[in-house]
Amino acid sequence: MYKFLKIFLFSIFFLNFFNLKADTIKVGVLHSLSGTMAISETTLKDTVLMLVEKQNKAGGLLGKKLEAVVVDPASDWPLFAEKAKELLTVQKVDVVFGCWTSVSRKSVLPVFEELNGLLFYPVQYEGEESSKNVFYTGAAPNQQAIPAVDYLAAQGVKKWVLAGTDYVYPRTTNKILESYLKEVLGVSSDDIMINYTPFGHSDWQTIVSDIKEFGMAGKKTAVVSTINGDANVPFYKELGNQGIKAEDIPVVAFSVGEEELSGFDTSPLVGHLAAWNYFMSAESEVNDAFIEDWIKFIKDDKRVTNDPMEAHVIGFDMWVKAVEKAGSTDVDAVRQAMYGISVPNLTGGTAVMNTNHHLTKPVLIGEIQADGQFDIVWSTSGGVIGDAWTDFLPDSARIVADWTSPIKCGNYNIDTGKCSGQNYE
Amino acid sequence: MKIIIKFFYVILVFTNLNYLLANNNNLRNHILELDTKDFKKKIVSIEKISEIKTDLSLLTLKSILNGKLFIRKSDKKILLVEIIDRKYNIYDFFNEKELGIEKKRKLKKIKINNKIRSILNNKIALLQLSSGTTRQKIEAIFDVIKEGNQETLIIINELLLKEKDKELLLNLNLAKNSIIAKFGTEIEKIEAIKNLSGITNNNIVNILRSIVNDKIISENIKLEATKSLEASLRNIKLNNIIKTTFFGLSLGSVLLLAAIGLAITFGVVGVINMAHGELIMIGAYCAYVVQQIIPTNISASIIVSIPVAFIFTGFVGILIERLIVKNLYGRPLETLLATFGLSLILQQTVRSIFSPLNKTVYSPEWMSGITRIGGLELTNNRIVIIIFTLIVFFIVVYILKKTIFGLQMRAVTQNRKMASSMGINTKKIDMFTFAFGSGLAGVAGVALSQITNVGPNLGQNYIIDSFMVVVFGGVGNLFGTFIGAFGLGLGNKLLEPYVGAIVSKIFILLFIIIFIQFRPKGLFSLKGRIANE
Repeated sequence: MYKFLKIFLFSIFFLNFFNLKADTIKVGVLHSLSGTMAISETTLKDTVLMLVEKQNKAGGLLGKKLEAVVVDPASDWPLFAEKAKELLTVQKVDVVFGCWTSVSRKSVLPVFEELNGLLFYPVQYEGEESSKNVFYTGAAPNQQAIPAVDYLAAQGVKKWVLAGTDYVYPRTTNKILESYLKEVLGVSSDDIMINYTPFGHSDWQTIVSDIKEFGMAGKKTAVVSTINGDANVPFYKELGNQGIKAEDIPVVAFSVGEEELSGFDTSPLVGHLAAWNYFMSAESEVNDAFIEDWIKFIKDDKRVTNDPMEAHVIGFDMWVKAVEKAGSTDVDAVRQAMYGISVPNLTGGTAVMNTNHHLTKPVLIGEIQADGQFDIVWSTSGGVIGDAWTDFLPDSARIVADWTSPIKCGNYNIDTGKCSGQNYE
Repeated sequence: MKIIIKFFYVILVFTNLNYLLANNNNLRNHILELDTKDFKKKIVSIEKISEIKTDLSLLTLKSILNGKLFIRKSDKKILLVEIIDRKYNIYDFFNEKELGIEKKRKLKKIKINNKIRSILNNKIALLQLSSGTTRQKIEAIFDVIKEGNQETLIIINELLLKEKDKELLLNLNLAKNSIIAKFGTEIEKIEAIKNLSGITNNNIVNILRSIVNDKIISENIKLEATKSLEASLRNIKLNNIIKTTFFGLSLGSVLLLAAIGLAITFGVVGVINMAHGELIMIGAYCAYVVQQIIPTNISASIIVSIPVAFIFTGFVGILIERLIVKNLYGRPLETLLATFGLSLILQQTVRSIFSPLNKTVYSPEWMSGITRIGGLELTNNRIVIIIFTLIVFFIVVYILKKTIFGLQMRAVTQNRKMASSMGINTKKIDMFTFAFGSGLAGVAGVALSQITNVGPNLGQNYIIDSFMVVVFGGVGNLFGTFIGAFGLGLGNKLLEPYVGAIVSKIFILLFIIIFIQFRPKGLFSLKGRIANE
């Protein structure tokens, strides 16, 4: 028995030894593969695996092969922190692509800051954050919510319903939007209806009927939806069943993309809107090539592509370019190399990484079609710089994020000249 | 003479042909004008197309609305496109000749936005008002009410003389009055407004409201409009009360459906089955699988999937009972833990087999849309589910009260030892009861596939609600479950308009916690000696 144990320990030791010696660059993937968030995050895991495979086929990076290390945080927020720690200390990965919900990001944030890791976060979020160790490749509110509201206002919308699931992203986004509607667009508070529902809410009869009543009082009305993934299908079904057409009351959603729509029949929803930085229907050569690669990789020609996938593509390409520029995978060197780096995005433009760790991206508005795809009906003429701290909340308006000299801070108050909040240099 | 006639005839044909060709040329040019990113220019072109008023121009408008009109980039050919399995089958728009399959990137779709969609709907509605089916005409009238003018009034007057269908005539009169209320003389207006009194249609209420708020309109009209508007608002209020009750009943029926299987396994056999939600989920996936097997007939697939789901989940129930629950009878805590673990296993199994993504289960025609009763609008899928739930409930009651199986089941619950000594195989009854309850969960899953996500997490959303209903109604009492489900459904929906969805749910939970303090056995508890065991 003792002998057995000895051999076992030795083999572990040797394996580890070889592992350390092995000449690979490790890419951590921190996405839930089980539990409630698996529905969205599994796709992102596959995206990163595809990108790693592609990079290896093209000869790897710095003469080494890339190796993906996949862990499953199982939609469990504290487990995200544990798995992040495991990736950084046990697996010693050079970079991590991961997280979806804001609460999972907040959970891993201290780990990445303490161990000086590097995280690429691919999902649109509520802003009000800029960590030295995180690059935010999804949209900040000014790259999604605000342009969407502007678009609808230009279409003649005078009354607004802000409907969301009850957690941090919708609450913060709606706070920003409410202030924007009142201060900038001059909407009176009688013309704004705010409504929150629990996670996975499935009985939408009353709320949809309320929205219908609110919207039929003469003035053109729109719904701005921050309803989270799973609750959307019953919500849209109820809209369709109660006969609310997009021409009467359009719904613009920030969490509904091609993947969410692939779960149901969209013919009653034609014309409802979504705001993203990428749609699968975008017309560009790179996008065609990407879709073809994806379908080949996942071996299912019914699968769709979506915005967070594009964010991972941009993030991955930027990281590769930054590593090549820095000549190493050292986190600090790569971070410095990231600033100002630009790579092609999938919609035919270029994405630039700014010193506040947010991207410059175009904003697109799409209308849902009967086949579950979006037709792009509006887009910004160029890229929009992601704003970490919104200009439409009094507390945040005076705060900027800039990780280059002389500020070197993600939470810098320009009035007091002080850097506060999260960990900083 | 003959030659001259022939000559004239040829000229006539030619000019007619020329006229048609000119029309088609015009149409072609206007369609090509639609190839722009400027939506304002598109609106102008669409106006021009609708003025041509040929069958082809109506087809053009419809194809644009349905997203089937494309332009080939290379030669600017106008095409109709059918997308089948992501392949673009193209047809020549003008002669309908099939031209094979084209790559997506070689084609350009005529894109529209909501504004254009609404214009198109209106144009098509006007054209259909004189040519569509009765149903189409009624739908068209509602579009007309929104944006009618004197021109539409002429069409409506013509139709009023022609049509015989009662419902159609009623709506035509509404549309007529709504237009006169806006454009008529003072006396006409007052008459029209009187006729609109009490109507709850939103567009009509809006017309009345705009008259009341109009500053330059005469006092007489305003007075009449105020009266009519008040009557309408009263009716709307009444409708809302009925509607809220309907919402409550429909939520109640969903709760009852989800809980009825649990009422049997928990109430009758006494097993706390935490995997009950997953059995519902499996039932929903049965609906999905059946629909994959017969994709052509959606109505049939939903009906077929009811027995399929019942048998399949019933079979899963037997497996659970034989392999896990059987060994744990009388140990509630262990059963709870074991079935909770089982629920996680089932979720992940489904996730591995079907992927974590939600699956589409299509709804049949008769389960979508609205039924209008007076001014009341009730959604069809909810009506169907309420009726379905009642049918299921009465079948279950019948089985329990009138069949041998039901009799034995009740005997075993009331006194296991006595039943056993009377020759009933209690173990077998336990197994079949558990399977019966599981099968009912599967049936619930088929119904839920019509209103919510079909995904691995479907069951989790319903398990707590199901337990709540059973505990509130009284364990072991089907009638209690019935009252409990509808009571909680109605309570939830009556509170929701005042306090919102989150707080109303909290209130309901609080209510049950307090209620259980005073009546630990629920609304209707079993009485007698066995109840005290």
